[in-house]
Amino acid sequence: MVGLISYGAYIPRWRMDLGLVGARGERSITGPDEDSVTMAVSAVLQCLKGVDRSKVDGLFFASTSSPYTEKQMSSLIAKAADLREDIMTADFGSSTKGATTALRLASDAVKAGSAKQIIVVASDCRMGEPGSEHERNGGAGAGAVLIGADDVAVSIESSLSVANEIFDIWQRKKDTYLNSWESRFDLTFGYTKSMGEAIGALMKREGIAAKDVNKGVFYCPDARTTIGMAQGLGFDPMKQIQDGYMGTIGNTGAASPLLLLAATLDEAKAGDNILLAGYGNGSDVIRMKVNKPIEAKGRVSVKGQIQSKLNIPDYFTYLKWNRLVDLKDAKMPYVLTYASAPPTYRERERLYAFHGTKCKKCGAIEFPPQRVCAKCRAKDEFESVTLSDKQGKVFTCMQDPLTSQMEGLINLDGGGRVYCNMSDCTMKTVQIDTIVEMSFRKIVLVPWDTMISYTWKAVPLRANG
Amino acid sequence: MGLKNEVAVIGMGCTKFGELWDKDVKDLVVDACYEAFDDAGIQSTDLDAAWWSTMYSGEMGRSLAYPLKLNYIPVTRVENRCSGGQDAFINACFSVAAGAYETVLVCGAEKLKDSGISAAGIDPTTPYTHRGDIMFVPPGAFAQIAQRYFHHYKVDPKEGKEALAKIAVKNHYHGSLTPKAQFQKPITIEQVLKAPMIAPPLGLFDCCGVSDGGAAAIVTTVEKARKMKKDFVVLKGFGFSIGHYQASIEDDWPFIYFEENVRAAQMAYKMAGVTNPRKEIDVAIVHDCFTITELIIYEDLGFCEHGKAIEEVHKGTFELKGEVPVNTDGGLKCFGHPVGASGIRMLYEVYNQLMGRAGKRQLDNVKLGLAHGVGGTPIDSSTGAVVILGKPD
Repeated sequence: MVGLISYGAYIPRWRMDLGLVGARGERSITGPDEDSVTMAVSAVLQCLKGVDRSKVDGLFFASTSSPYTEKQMSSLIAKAADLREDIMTADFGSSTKGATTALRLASDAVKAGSAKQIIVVASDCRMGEPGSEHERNGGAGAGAVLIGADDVAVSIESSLSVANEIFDIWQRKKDTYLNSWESRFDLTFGYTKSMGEAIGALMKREGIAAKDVNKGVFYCPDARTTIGMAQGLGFDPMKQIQDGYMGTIGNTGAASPLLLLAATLDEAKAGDNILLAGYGNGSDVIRMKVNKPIEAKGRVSVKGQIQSKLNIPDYFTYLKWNRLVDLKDAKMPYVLTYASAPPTYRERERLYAFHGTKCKKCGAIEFPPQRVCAKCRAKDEFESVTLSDKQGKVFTCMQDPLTSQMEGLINLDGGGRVYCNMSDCTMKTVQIDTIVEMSFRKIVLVPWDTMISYTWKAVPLRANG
Repeated sequence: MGLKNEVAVIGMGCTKFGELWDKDVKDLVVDACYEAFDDAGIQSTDLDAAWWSTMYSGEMGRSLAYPLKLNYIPVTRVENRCSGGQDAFINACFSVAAGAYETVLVCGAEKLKDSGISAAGIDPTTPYTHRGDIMFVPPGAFAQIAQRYFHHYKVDPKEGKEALAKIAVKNHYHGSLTPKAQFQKPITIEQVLKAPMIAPPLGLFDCCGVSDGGAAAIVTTVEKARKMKKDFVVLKGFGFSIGHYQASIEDDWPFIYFEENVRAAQMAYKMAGVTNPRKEIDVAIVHDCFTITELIIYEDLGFCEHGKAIEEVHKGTFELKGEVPVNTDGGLKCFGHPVGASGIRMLYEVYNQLMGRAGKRQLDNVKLGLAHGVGGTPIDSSTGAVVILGKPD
């Protein structure tokens, strides 16, 4: 039996009050050091809580906002998640249904025996033109599931897909923002048609009535359309449909189905029947059955992540963080260093997998990895240790006066001290002894770099909701 | 072992420090070196070798030889961040003590103000070639040791900030007595406390200037000095220590003092025969890149016990008329901090105090003076450099 072994989600802390753009509610936005890749890594780490990562044979990444046109990001996400290198990685771009398609294919691969376990992660940040409906409806977030055949908590029972060639929403390589046609046309002949066809066909094929489904987890483009579509199929939208979090998070694009699935699984009971459906030039629908709830120590629920938030003060902050305004007075970075491919490759275990060294002689854990132990001076007697899943305490910290970046020395649980940037906090919210965890984030070395640099930063813990 | 009384300084020079918009680094080199040549009574053609300290303002020895038109002599460029000046000086002393050369030049100069940065901290104009994955500026790094110092010794942040303010006020007063200093205006404690915050607890007046400047020294044998000069100073001792990133990779490092300073001071005191620095050092010019650094240096150099510096600040121990006058020329805070030049500027003040040339800030009866530098930061690990000069026996 193939199905879900684990799952996780990530919603950035940052929210924009939609009052800033003349609407009600709020949406999630990426922080200044976040993108689809960093959110994906965070969701994968949530998904890997309590899981042996050495058994994962593949990672599929779905997004419409991957930062590169050419350069696989699933390989980078897999490295940041400290997965093995003899695995299959693939990116699913260009469609908001990439996650459900990847989930179908991962499930088929496991069923066929070509992999034992595959992570499917989807992550997106929707970028609508300032003042547009896409900006108001959009959100940022990520979701991940681990597919396998053993110890399956949520079994994948069946699935079905339809394709639909239509220009409803599109973005060319050179476009900063989403394009769309008139929404009445888009939603009628795009979303409602394909979702209705796929979900309806699967229910008909398997003789399922709407009442047999405990939760419909449907890609949610706005506050209304999903409800109308579900009603048309006989569902009670108040009871049977997973809330799309419009007005709190917003439409997270390719991440939407997996993020909403995580919310459903947070509260699912054994025996629950779930229909998961994604949309984007067609639909995939996947029928699942919960065998047992998936509990994992340290995983933060979707509700908890919705509650744990920080609001940006003004619209300019949103424009600035997303580089939608050209800031001529940008400060020169103090350390004038630039992204370089050979060291990034050479040090990928440190930069991405966040490996430190543990001295075999004296046991000291040191970061960055050393050749000679700082404590006992033993040479080349180290083993690698993964530090990305460790919590720690702030030993000292500071807000950088030029970049306003937080930085600090972090003493990790179990040993080791890391000097790193900190994020999602200020000197008012963290101090000496505050408990933090590590988060994979972007860093801008020089503005003219053509490679995006990533680093691990310390962030405050998010309370479980 | 050691070089006590082995080499002499027979001349020194120093430019005015500050925002020298009309001076190139070559001008700074020429101005500082020719003042030193005149003071020593020599010409550039009398030199056997030269040592050149700069971090950002010139590569190779030729960036010293070119403006001075040195006569095909060896020039060694030294870089050890903010303590490059002391390091160049120490290495020049080695060559003279070894008998390899008789008369050598040590020069440090830096042109920071062409970079477009006015903020506290230092801007490199040459890219590093390695990939960094954390960025910080010096005020942030030093503020973190301040946070830890206050936390460790249970210092009330308000009281701690006031003690730091007193250090800034002292150095500004000393700067007002120093014609070549970048900042020559006395300030009040209230001004310091109300100044814009840079990196808590460090405000604007807790940070040293960003400056252009150059300084130079002529080093020779004591024997030759006696023949040439009626009055000169001699090397009494030195120490130089460098860390290995211990504070950021050793998880039990306490981060409340600079081990490098402690070690460098021990080496220098041993060579100079100093057993009670508080009593024996008549003037100390130390690395006050930030007020917190000066506070911790009082302890590291043994002027008081660890954890007791704030008490001593309140007692006025380090003021011009105090027991151990520190930074009589305004220090990095007010004289300015052109990185590669600073170590030699510190020696210049010790030299002036020993020679009785310190003008309005001249101390009585100076026999032994100390110049101390820190290169790097407490986080990425630092150098500690101590040079002790004194009168010939």
